[in-house]
Amino acid sequence: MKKPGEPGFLFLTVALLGALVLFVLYPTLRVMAYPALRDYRTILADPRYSKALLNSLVMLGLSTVSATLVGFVFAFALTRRDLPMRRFFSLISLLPLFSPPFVVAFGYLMMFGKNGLVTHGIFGLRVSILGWTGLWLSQTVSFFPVATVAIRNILETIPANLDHAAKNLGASRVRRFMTITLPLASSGILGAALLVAILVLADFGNPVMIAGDFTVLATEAWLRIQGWADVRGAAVLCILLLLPSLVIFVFQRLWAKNRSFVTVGGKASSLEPEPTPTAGKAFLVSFCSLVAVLVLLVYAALLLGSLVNGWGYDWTPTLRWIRELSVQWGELGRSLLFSLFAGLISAVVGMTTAFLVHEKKVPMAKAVDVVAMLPAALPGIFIGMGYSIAFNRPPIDLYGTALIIVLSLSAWNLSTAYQTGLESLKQISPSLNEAAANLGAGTLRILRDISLPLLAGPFLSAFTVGFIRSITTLSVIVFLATASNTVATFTIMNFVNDGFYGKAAALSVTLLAVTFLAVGITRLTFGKKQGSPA
Amino acid sequence: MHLEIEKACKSFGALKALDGVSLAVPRGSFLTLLGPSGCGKTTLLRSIAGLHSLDSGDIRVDGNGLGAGGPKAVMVFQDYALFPHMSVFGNVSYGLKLRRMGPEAIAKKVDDVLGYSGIRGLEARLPSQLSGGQQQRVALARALVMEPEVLLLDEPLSNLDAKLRLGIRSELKRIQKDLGVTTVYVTHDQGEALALSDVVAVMNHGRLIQMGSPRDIYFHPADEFVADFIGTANFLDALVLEAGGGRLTVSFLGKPRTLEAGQSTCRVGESVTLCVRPESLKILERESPSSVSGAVVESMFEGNHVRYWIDVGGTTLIADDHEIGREVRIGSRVSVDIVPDGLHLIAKKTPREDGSRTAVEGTIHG
Repeated sequence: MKKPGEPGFLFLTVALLGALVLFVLYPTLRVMAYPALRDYRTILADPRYSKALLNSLVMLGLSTVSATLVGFVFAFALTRRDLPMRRFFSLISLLPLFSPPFVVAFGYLMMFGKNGLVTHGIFGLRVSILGWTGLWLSQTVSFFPVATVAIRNILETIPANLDHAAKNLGASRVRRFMTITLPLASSGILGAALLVAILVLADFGNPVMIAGDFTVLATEAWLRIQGWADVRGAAVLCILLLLPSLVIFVFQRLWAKNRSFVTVGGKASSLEPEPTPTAGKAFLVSFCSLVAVLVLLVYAALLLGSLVNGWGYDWTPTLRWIRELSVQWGELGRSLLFSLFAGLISAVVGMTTAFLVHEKKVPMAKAVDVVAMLPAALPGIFIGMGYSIAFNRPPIDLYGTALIIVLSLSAWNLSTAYQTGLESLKQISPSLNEAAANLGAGTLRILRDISLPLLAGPFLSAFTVGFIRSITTLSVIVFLATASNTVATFTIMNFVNDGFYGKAAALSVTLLAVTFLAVGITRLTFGKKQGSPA
Repeated sequence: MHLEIEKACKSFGALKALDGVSLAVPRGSFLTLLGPSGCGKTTLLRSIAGLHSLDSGDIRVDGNGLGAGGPKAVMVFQDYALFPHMSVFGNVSYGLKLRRMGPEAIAKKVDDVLGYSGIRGLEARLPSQLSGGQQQRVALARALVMEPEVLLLDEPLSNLDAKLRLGIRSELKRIQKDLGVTTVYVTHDQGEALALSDVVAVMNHGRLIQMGSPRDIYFHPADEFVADFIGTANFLDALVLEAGGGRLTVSFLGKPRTLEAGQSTCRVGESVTLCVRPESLKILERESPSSVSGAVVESMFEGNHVRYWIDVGGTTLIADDHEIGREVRIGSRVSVDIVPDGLHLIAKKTPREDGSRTAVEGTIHG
């Protein structure tokens, strides 16, 4: 099948490998190599940073457990077909996925902060959620949807007839849940927890807004540069952040590989699932409603905040913030443009890499696989750090350019696209490629005629995910944004930190609207073209 | 010879998938590679298709090696491998486009092949909008339109239901004969192999065990494996009583029988293995001089015949009775005789202690 003398293919391979090395591996290694041993000693000796490390680990434990738990209950509720308001809850669980994680923290600050609408406005209290409690709540609400999606997928693979079989053998409802559903879902639940853990650890947006003095590694790295311009110290903190993330990531990958027993007996069940008992329904509906309120509070705060004069002290309605947005068109436009490019680049590069690795057409496929998956383990702040160290001076000086933002975002999203591509390729029967080869098609021809058209759907979803992650991220770009290439999320953070809640809220709402609009337009324009083939 | 394979060897790690297979067939033959899964038949087929290269050995078509100058051997895949995003026309014309044929010539050729494949009118459909049988035909048309020197079929009927399979089977045979294309067909279904082929090659463990016409393979199996794999057979050990003049006389369950010796060089006093097909055993109402008698231990009604398991002095014989009007009850005593030329010598055997063997049922299925 492999034909010698396909120059186009050779060029593609070399270009791709070069890009992976230069834009993924090189910045990563630069961060690792940056600090000297002395810098580690300085940082580790400072109680401030051992505290940040401890705080990071505490939040890792707290938020991972709570987000996974909420995620599980939500997933369980969403798989009950007879649950009232199921569609509404499903929508609620998707909403945070489309939003910058930090808007959750911002929303709660507006609702439960010192001048919060709920705490101060309604109850007249002078308490604030600022600190670890606020962070805990924000992270739980920000990341439970990730767990919901993962666990829901697992729960849906458990055939309903297992439940019927257990019932037929005389098991009670509770017993069935404990002995059938939970054990079968357990590997999925742990897998979801690991996914959440990586996000919690890497979270920068929430702590920077709501944690106050409760600093974590990601925010300390940021402060280290902001306050002291200490790149070496920040690099040490980034590495300290990377290590646990890598461990969790490797564990998660191994875990995902070995969860195969869930899918035993692939025959789809035609049996209707058992109706949910009333008490169960009541619990699920009230639990999900509570979470829904917490989610909706965020968006209510943003909307309201963009429409009142002075949050917390002057509730007169105004369109001032919306009108003043015109100053921010630059940031918004850049956010949109950079993210579109980043989504596109990551999807193209990720999927092409997946193709080459899957077809074993590339030398050292294993190593390429590792590099392509690496960004998934890198906290956003680490990638930003890497790009700011690696590409801020000659030979490659991209300081303050649009390119450095687009490239860093593309690299950050590479793994998602790569993984999507790999999964989809695995589902395409190998005999399709063989049939094309047997009829006389070369590697590039197969890629063009067979693989690419069949990957159109997955490509679109990889692009969409990359776009959303790019337009909502703060962590990747905080080290890279300058006056000339700053994006909306960075401006929002500055507004919040400076107390301009109205401006921040108006910009957040607009950013959300832009995101939804862009995703909607993409889906409508390109979504129809695929889907017809089986 | 049109298709020649010489000492083909191919290993996957420690597994020898092909262990020196040589065979040759004339132009227009329908060759079936038959064997259990893992016997190497698919590896051989895929090697002919050029989907993987041999470790050593040669595959030649018309005396030329495969490879350069476009595909000479085109394959129909077991799962059809229809491109799901292309219409029927797109699928069938794909290979022609790769040959840079003009659109008019393509349209004409595709129309022709769809015509004799019986799927004209479905050009615009996607594979997902076709029935299993139609998908099968598209897959065949996609290969035939290339006018291959050798047509390769990898268990093409295995995804169809039993009824459809019989229909497509005879159509496949018709098309193959009409076009006169040399065809290599892989299957583990011995019924298909016998019905379709000019030549059957039985393989096991990467080796060619026997090659011959369906009748040869069925009635003169080279060894127990072949006899067992193709249909159901009774195996019996027997003692040679007389030998000479190309004939042997053996003791069959205590009665003397004479049969063709073939190429074997058996001597008096040696033990040999004999093979009798169930349909070569007759159940008699009355004893005859050559018959043996036994008790029916089990019976199974199979539609056009009844299969009986009959215990004859400790040896169980399987006999198919096509006179289904009568029903022999379990436990009753019957006489069993062999039809003329129903007994075949399959291998010389070293004498064994017990001297008797039970019949083994081979894989028989639709």
